[in-house]
This record gives sequence, C-alpha cells and structure tokens, in this order.
Amino acid sequence: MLIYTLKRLAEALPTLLVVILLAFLLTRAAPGGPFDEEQAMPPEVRANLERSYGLDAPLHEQFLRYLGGLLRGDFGPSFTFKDYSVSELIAEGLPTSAALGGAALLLAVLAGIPLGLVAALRARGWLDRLAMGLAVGGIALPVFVIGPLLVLVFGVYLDLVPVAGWGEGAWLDRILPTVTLALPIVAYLARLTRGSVLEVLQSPFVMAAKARGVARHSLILRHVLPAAMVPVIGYLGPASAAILTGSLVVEILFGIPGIGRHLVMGALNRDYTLVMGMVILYASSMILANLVADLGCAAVDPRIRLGRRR
Amino acid sequence: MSALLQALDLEVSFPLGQGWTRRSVLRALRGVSLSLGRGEAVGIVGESGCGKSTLARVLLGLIKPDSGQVLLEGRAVAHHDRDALLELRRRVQMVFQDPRGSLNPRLTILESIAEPLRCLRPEFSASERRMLIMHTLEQVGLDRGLASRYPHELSGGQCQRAGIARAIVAKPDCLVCDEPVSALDLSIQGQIVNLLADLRREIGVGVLFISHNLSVVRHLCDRVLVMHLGQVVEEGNVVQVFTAPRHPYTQLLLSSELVAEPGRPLPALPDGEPASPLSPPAGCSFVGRCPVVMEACRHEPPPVTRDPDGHATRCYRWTDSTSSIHSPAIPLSTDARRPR
Amino acid sequence: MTRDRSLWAESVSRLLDHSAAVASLAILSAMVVAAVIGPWLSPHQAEVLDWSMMGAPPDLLSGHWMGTDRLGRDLLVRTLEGMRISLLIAVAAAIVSLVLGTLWGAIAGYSGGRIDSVMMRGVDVLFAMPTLFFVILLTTLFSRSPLLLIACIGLTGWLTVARVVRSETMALASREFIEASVACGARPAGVVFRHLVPNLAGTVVTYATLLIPQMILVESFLSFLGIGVQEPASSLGNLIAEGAAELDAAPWMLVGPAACLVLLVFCFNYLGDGLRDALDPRRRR
Repeated sequence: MLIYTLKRLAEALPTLLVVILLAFLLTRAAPGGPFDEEQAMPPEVRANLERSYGLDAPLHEQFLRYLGGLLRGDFGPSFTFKDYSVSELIAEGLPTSAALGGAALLLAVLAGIPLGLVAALRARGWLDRLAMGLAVGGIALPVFVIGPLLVLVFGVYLDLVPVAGWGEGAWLDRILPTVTLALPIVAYLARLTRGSVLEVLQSPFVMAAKARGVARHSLILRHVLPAAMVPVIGYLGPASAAILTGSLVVEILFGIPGIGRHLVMGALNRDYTLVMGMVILYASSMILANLVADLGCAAVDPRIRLGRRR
Repeated sequence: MSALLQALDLEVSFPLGQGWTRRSVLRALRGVSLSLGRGEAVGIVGESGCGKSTLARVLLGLIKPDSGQVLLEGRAVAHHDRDALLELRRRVQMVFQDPRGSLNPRLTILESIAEPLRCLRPEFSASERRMLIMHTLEQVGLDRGLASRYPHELSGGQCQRAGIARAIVAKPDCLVCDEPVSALDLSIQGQIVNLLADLRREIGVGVLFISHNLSVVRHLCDRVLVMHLGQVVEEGNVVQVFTAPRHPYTQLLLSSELVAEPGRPLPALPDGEPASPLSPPAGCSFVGRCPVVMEACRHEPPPVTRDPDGHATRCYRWTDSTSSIHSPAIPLSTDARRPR
Repeated sequence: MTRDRSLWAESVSRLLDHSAAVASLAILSAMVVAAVIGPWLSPHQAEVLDWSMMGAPPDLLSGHWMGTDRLGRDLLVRTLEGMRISLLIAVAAAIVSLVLGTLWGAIAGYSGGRIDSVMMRGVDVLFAMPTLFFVILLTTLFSRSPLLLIACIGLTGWLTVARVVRSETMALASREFIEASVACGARPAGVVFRHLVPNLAGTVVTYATLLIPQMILVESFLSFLGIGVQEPASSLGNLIAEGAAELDAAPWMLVGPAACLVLLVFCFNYLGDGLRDALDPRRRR
C-alpha cells in the first residue's frame, strides 16, 4: 500500500507541475499585457510597472519566481482588486467555498449510496423506479438548470427558503445551494451504487456465501457492500471535480461570497493573476481528490494496489 | 530444381509486457527450417503455442523474422521490399483459422474475394475479375448467389469456403492453411478438408496444413513436421512419422489422440508441466515431460539425426541407438545447437 | 434481391426498432428545423424591442407565445436563435473533438509499441487535468470569439474519443480480416481506408451523437457564467442566466430556454444510446 501511495504521488506531482507550467505559459502567451486596458501610458511608466510586477525578467526566471511564490502561498497581486493579493482573496473566500463543497459532497454520499443500495435490494419495486427516475433526471439536468428551478419552486412559489445568500451561518440559507450542488452527484452515485450492487449480488462468491447460509444482513454488509463500493469510491474523484465546477454556478446563482465567484469575476474582468491562481487552486484540489479516491479504491481492493487492475 | 517455398533457420521472438521496460521475450520460433515442393502437401502439428501460426505468418511475410530467410524458388524474399512481398503473395496465399473473423464484416463476399485480384493481378478488368470470382466460387462449392451476401449471413463452413476462394482466386502455387478447420463443427471439418484435397488434385496447388488434428493431417498430407516450443522436433513422410514415431513428444501426441472406440481405455499420459516459451529449458525443450529423459538432455540441446529417406529427429535417444546404423547427425540448423 | 442486407441496412432497421431513439430523432429534427427557419417565419425579431410588451407572460393572442423579456424582446424567437447558436457551437466543437480524437487514437492504436505508449501517456496526463478550468483561463486570456470557444470546448472532449478509438482500432487490428487483407497484398492505405475506417465509423458516429449533448452543456455552462457566447448573440446558457436573474418577476424567461436545453440533451443521449445498440450487434439483448 505504501509503495502504491508513493507511486500515485509520483504521478500526481508532475501532473500538477504541468498544470502550473501550462497556466503560466498561456498567461504569458496571451496577446497584450495586463495593463493594456489602462489609458496610453508613457513607456517609462509601463517599464516601471512591469519591473514592479517582475515582468521584465526572462521567462524561466519568472516561472521559477512564481513557483517559489506558490510554495510560500503567494499567488501574486490581483490586477483588478488593486488593494488585494490573490492569496488574500483566496483566504477570504476559501472557507465559504470549502464549507459549501464539503457539505454537498457529504450530502451526496449520505443520500446517493443508501438510495442506490435500497434500489438495488428492492430492484424493480416502486422505490427503485422512483430512485432511477430521479437519477436519470439528475444526470441530464445540469446544475445551472436545477438551481434556478429549485429556487423557483421552493424559494418563489412555496417560499420555504431564501432565494439567495449564504447568511451568517443560518442553516436555512444553506439548504438550497447545498442541495443544488449535491443533486447531480446524488443521482449519479445512486445509479452507480445500484448497478454495482446488482452486479456483485450475481457474482459467484455471493452465491457461495448465500449457499453457506450467511444471514442476509451480514451478507449485505460484509460481502456485498465492500465489493460494490470499489467503483463508487473511484467515482468520488470525478464527483469532486463536478462539485468544483458546479460550485462556480451555485456561487454565482446564490450570490455566495466564495472563491468560485472570484474566479468568474476575475475571468469577466480579465484579471490574469487572479484567474491563474484560482485555476491552479482548483486544479490542485481536483488532482488531490482523484489521488484520495484512487488510494481509497486501493485500500478496499487489493487487486488495484498490486497493479493487476486500474 | 529448388523447392517452391523454403524456410531457413527462422528465428522470431516477441517482446512481452507493457511500457518502457520490456524485459521478457517470447521465443516463438527457434531455428525452424522447412521446404515445400510444387503440389506437395505438408502438415505441421504441435500443441497450441508451439509457434505454428507464427511460422505461417512469417512464410507470408506478415511477420518479419529476427533472423533466417524465406526462399521462393530458391531466391530469398526481402521482407522490406514491397515488390518482393507482392510476388511472394502472388505465389503463396493463406487460409485463416477464424472463418468469419477473416472476412471484413462490412464487405460482401464478392468484394472480399476481389481484393487479392485487385491487389495482386491488376491486369484483369472488372468483368474478367467477376468471371474469375464466379468460377472460383463454383470451385469451392459456393452458390453464386452468395456473392452479394455479407459474412454474417453465411454459416461458418460457407465463410471458410469463401476464405479458400479468396486464397485461390489469384492462382497461387501454394496455400498456407492455419488451422483452417479447428473453428468449425466436426461435420463441416471433413467437407473443408476434402475440398482442400480436391483443389490439390484439380489445380495442383501445394498445401502447408497447420493443425493440431492429427487424423486430418494423416488424411491430407504427404509429409509432416512436428513442432514443439518453436522447434521442429521430428520430420518425415506421414507414414513414417505416424506409424513409427521417434521423438518422445511425437509419441506422446499420437498416444494422446482420443479414438472413438467403446471399451478402449483413456491413454495414460505423463505428468509434468509443459515448458514455457518465455524461458525454454537449456537443453531439450521436452525434458519436463519426457518419459525417457537422460542427463545429457538437460544441458545441451540435442542434435538432429536425419535418415537418408528424410526422416529426421531431434533427440539424444535416437542419436545413441541409431548412430551406428544411420548417417551422422545433420543439423536442421546450426544455431539450435548453440547452448543458451 | 431483398435478402442482401449490409450491416448498415441492418443497423438502420435495428435503430428503427428502438422507439425512444426514433422519437428522439423526430424531436431533434423538429427542433433543428425550428431553430434554423423558425426565427425567419416569426413576425418578431430577436433584437426588436416591443415597448408595449415588456416582461409580458406567454400569451397566444399577443403573438408572443413564450412571452417577452424585460426589454420586450420575443422569447420564442430568442430561444430558437439561442438554440441555433448552441447547436452550431456544439456540433462544431464535437467535430473538433472527433477529428482530433479519432486521428490520435487511430494512429496510436494502429502503430502500437512505443509510439502508442507515448501518445497515450500524453492523453493520461491531460485526462488528469481540469480541462474546464483551462477553458476558463483561455477565455480570460484571449478574445472571446466563437472560434476560440469552439476550439476550447472541443478540447474538453477529444481525450475520451482518443481512448475509445484507440482501443477499438487495436481490437480491429488484431482481427484476422486485417491480416488477411495484408496477405492479399493490400497497401497500408488500402487497409486503413477499406477495412479500418468503415469498421470504426459506427463507433465514431455513436460518439459524435453522445458528444454533442456534452458540448451543449459545456457551452451553456460557460455562457451561463458570462464567459461563453457574448452579447448581442445569445445561446441557451445566456438565456437561462437571464431567466435565473428575473426568477421572481418573469419565471417564463427561465422555463422556456431551460426546457429546450434539457430536451436537446435528453434526445441526443437517447439517440446516442439507440445508435450504440444498433451499430454494435454484440450489445443487443
């Protein structure tokens, strides 16, 4: 397991480095500098500005300096929020975004897996049909459609929850954003769990356990679930990715002051350093999530860590 | 006159494993030589994985050998020369193991059979091509109406007849048949073997028949080569080899053939694991299962003893017991005697 | 001869047996036709403001069947035009993905060996990358032209295509009929175009159908955030964003475009599933 962990780490780190390098090069390759929006300025002023941002050094030196900054948690200054550094903007928004994403992931797991399990155990029953109907809808409906529709029904017509905002920790405010973000994942997890459990239920080792007279609840808990969880745990990597992208929509839609909103605002305002910092942050979270999911799979399924299956 | 098709000392190995570190190597052919005369039928038998199919593909130029040569009428075929390969394929054609899999599912039977004509005999016009194909369909016993059908609409036996039609339509001198009947029903197998025998008689085409079915080889062929782990271990005419097998492996093959006869006991076979082509033993490749193994067999590969009548065996037992009677050992290949 | 049935003909008849796919195909055709000629037939125009009808709800009598937006623009026409733009971008991006992915996958799969492992290693690395965030970065850095948008969105889809085409090519290349064709003296180009490509076509067509809804979703996602299609043009994503902003006052502004988007995505997915079943006899139950 240790060897497998190290191996996966050795794969993830270069990927991250490639991400940073690509983001850096793209930023430098972009036509026009970040100061083009300003009025025409005398060349010496521009040179001064560029020097103060370190834009006059050779490219590899700039990259190494940027990389060094990243290691110290310094993403550079923001070009549009003149008084803030990118790090400050991240520090300000990250707790909110993390709370939103974490809550959504937790909700998705707590709702999706049991839903799929029950649907599989009562295959073709009404609950199964309901769950699978929901799942199909949840997969075809993107967050930016579900969100407004939920707001329309529960916020506007039924007036049960506030239509926007994150509140000062008021949980009522947080229900709708969290549910919106979690719903597509719930749908996918439910479908995945159902399929996986059904497949395991048909496998010879479960048949053999049944034939030995293992009691139903211990059959499900000890034999079926651990085997069925492998693809589900593996999906948690892509699920985290979906939550990260979905959170952009949710933060914009509900006006939640997280980093997703900074990213979108930065993109609209062409704030190079801000967007670059955010992209690197999101990319590393995604790579980390994938790493954790892979390690989780390996912990459950010894075949993976022995390299027999990927 | 030199033989139509000859192989000299063919060596082929395949790298195994994925990625950058390809350490292990599968040695599919280890110094194989053979010759096939005009109109002759030669059988190649041996267990699966002994290199029979690889040999067929090397003879057609589909696999480039690591060393050794393929000779067409005594001239070496250059595997990188497209014209030389075309000439080889004009003279030598192949019948494949999987009748359905060897026909493109999206082409009609007519289109599939037309391919060798278009590529190898561009001198024919479209109408001449069509006539030739129709004639060939009759030769292999296929209804002309099937020409416009697709492979999935035909039975396995019909597909194999179409495969044979494709192989003979460009009038080759010899057919290399790689297990042409093993994927077919038992009742169909006989028909296909008879078809090949008829074709040999009627159009004088030579046949190199690769099979693990001994009785089919006995029925169809003049000579037979027994292969084991990438080497030819015995060679001779069918009567010699099948009535008086010399190599212990040939004896094992013959005795393990099941005969449908009530009351006859199942053959008693030796235990032991077959050797792996990944790491062939240092000495004789058959030491693991040989009932008469000697000390010498374990260290040095045995030489080949060849009788004047062409019966050749790669075995120490045979050198020992017959060296006084027969001519001294002539190696089938010099390379095979080098210890590894 | 009626009994001559090519695999293509069989596939078409199998597709016609798949009722959900046929229905999807019908709905999609109707939507495409509406998106192309609908705005032209309508008495209203997308950019014309109807000062007497600002933020009017759907009403058959007024001629604004799906209502108007805050500025009095007819929503039916705007939705149809948005659909046209969404479809155009999605189809173009799907073509970018397919061409790139098919070439990459086919070359890697047919070459094998070291070329294959290098090419697929590259795909693996890119697969681990958050492409969508790179698209956001690209739209930040470069001018937001439709062409850049198409290229960016296309870049998010080609990796999967490359993987699928590669494994399919490898499976095909090991089939005996490829070898048989070489043994018949066919040139490499002949093998590729006569044998490989026609047998890959089914997979590629299926993937194209499944890629388009993905591309529609990515485009709408970006447009929803305001970094996709730029005003004055608008796609379904922009319209949904506008609708979401006017939710309490004019919910029809959301419902119409959202319904169109969901219907498009659903239909393409069903059609793709139907095609997959029809073109691949092994998957038939």
